[in-house]
Amino acid sequence: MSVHVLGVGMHPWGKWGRPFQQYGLHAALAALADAGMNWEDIDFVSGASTMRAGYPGYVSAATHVAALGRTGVPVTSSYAACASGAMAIDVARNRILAGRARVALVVGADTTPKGFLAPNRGERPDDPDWLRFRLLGATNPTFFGMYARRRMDRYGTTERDLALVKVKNSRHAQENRYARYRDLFTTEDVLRSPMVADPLRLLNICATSDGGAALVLASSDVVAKVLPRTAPELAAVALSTPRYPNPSLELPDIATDASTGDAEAAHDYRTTICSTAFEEAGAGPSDVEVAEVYDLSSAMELDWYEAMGLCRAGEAEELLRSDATSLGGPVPVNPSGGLGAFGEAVAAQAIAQVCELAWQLRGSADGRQITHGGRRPRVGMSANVGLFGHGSSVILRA
Amino acid sequence: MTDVHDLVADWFEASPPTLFAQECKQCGTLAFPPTRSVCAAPDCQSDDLRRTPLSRQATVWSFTTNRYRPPPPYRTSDPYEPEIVLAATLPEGITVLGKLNGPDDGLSVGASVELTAGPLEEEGTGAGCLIWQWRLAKVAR
Repeated sequence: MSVHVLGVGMHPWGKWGRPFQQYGLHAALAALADAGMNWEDIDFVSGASTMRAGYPGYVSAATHVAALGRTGVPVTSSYAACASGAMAIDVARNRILAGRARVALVVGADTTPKGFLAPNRGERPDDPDWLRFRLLGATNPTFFGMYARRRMDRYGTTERDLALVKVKNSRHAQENRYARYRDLFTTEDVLRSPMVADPLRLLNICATSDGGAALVLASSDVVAKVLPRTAPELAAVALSTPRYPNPSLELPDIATDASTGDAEAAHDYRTTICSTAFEEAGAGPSDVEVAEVYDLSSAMELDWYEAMGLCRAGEAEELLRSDATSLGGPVPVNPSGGLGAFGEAVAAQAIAQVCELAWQLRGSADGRQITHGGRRPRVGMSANVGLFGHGSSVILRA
Repeated sequence: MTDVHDLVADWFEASPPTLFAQECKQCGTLAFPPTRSVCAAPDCQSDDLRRTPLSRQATVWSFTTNRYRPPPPYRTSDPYEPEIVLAATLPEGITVLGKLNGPDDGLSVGASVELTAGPLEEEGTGAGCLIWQWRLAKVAR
């Protein structure tokens, strides 16, 4: 028994200002149509939740079910910050593997206000996410900027390298109708954009967006009946948390564990996320032919090359400059355009990564389709980390 | 619920500037901020914790400048002046985030910094309360 991605759907990312369930509904209907399934065929719904839409956001699966029309289907809602989507995928996958569902719908949708992501209102000194803002004004870009500076100091990353990540991903996004930003940026555009959190400029940092993404997951016996539809196998879902002592400063903490280890074991946690996924899939870095990684900043995309094992520590810049991670290279990274082109729609993003991998593996990625010697990629991998130590990685196999 | 000023006063004393951690009396593990109920080491989990001061010297792990006004609950003066935030690693192996106090001449990864005290809120934005900050250590050049 295996679990497969039978259908994918998205609502275009943007700043639409509508209730999140409208994006979820749009994405869910698109995924159902893509899967050739009716809503009544779905026997489990797994929602990725959002904290930006009040109670309906917390009980996301029930909210999406209400929008689609109540069928009595059982639901689960998951929250893991940026990894919520991956967690929701895992819940649905496990339900199918346990034989308690055959065709499951996974939905994530979010709506964001303008500007920095900020904590929920109220006086909440017991919440580290509230405290970092209240005590230090430490926004997400504050952390991204510190990570980027650390990388520059350790590996000699240049501002031009960071710009190159954005230029590459903006080229990819031109062919993606779901991306929010589809303009082609040059290195000079990036280097001229306003500094936000040194060394990161506006065009090195992802925006906050509205958007929605959905998957229809099905068991192998269901898939066998709908052949010849191409349905990539969900070969692994890793949900990893840091191990004590973690020397890396993780969002939203204001201090690390006490550790005399190498602080760059920061990479160890991210490496563990990826190696956990590899282990489950029975695959390794050399098998990866397309990747979607969490580029909250351009520097973070480089960190992921190393965590995934696409290159050794300190060699990500070289890999980038060689165009290996561009469309046409051996392992294109963020062919969708990544977060730089989408912006964070937190509940939807980890699902959107899997949508892109599925499109690529099925050969239906329009003008950004990856080919390796005339064939479609066989293995795709995603990676991200949510606030409070929610690592996730998904591997799809054609 | 804890008041944020009481909380800072529990974690930090201004004179001399000192951060306080929890130390596990069973295994010696340190934790900052001191908000744990049991020891952070998963193979210990003792609830026998005591308040203990941390070192005042540290090494810059990384830093950045907030060029744009952070959103509430951060309280700033008007107009907003960019602020430098840095993470510095104590000899105890804990990296602690804090704002830079004083000049930034010579600020780099690996630079030596020492603990100092500065206002939690800008004048007119709240009650006067001191919080830990980092300043570049005076080193012979």
